[in-house]
Amino acid sequence: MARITCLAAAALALPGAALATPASEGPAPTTAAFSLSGAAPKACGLGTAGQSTLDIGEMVDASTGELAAISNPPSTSITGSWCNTASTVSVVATPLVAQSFAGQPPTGFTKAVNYTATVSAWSTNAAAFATNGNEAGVQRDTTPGSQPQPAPTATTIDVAVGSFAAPAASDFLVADTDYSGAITITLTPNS
Amino acid sequence: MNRLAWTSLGLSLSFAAGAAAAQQAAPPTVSVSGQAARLCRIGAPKVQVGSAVNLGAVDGQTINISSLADSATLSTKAISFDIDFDALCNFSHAVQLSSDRGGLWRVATGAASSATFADGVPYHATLVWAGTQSTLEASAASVAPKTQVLDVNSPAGGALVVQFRVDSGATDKGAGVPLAAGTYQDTLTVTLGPQ
Repeated sequence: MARITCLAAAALALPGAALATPASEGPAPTTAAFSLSGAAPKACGLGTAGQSTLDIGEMVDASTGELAAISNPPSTSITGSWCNTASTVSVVATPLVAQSFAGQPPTGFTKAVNYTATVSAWSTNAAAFATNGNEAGVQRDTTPGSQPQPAPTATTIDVAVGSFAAPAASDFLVADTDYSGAITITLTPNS
Repeated sequence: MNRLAWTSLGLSLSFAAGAAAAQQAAPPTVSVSGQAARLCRIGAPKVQVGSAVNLGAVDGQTINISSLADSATLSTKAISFDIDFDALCNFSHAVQLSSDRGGLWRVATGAASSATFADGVPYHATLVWAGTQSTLEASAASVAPKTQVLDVNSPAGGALVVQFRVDSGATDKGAGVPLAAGTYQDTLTVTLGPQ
């Protein structure tokens, strides 16, 4: 942005020099018209997440072997995000999947835990995506959740997770020290 | 990257920062992580009374045999019943079935019986779990603990079954030997845990 302003100022100085020529020293001044135009492209920038990992901690209910009730999971914020035009915020996520468990889990067990990822504070309504993995962690629907923002915006985006659920309520979780999923957030200028 | 263009009749300045197409922010990823602890559980024993043979009263975790000795021969009468447990292990594990005494042995209350009478009753206890099975042979060869271990290389949950069987006439002194009078007892323990 700063470079554009500098070049424009230099161009404007050219006709000014012609007008400064005194009338007594030569022919009457002539005029030259010129036009200026510029274009700022549509663009968005996403900042940095305060926490790159949201650690849910222990997920097993020790009394049942099923998914425990997970209350107050961690959240994070992405500061320094902006779009210089109307935009759309989108979110897609993958289930929490046991990374060390190879193959299909036995019947009655799951190696995946689903959740809902919510992105708020960018648009009027939060964009959300509910993972929909089966017991093996395979998702059938990866259509992102999206919400529009009609104005240029620069703000902090909040990212939260919740509504944790096993593919079937009666599923037992296979033991694993590393269940991992990922939330991907996208800001796109509207066309 | 910036572009400056001149026209013949005038000055035209055109500035374009970046490509003409809208720029989308590179998607950042926030990871989500968690863990599931290793866990084994086993519930209280449930005797399947309907299919049992020669089963007496069940008192909590004590199972009483209706008639250990046949009234005509005084030797062992056949026994058969299954015990179910609701069980769960969410990792590769082992199931251990152990007998405290290696057979149903007469609880000694006086002098040892002669060779004419038997003091021990052998039995089989078959563990059925996770699509496989393993049998503990409590042969009543001596009063000593005996253990059978079944490795299961996957998580498993559901009904763990112990099939308890005593053959007709089986004794520590040979087939058909009459049993010495008294109380015969053993304790079976099922344990789930790491291999």
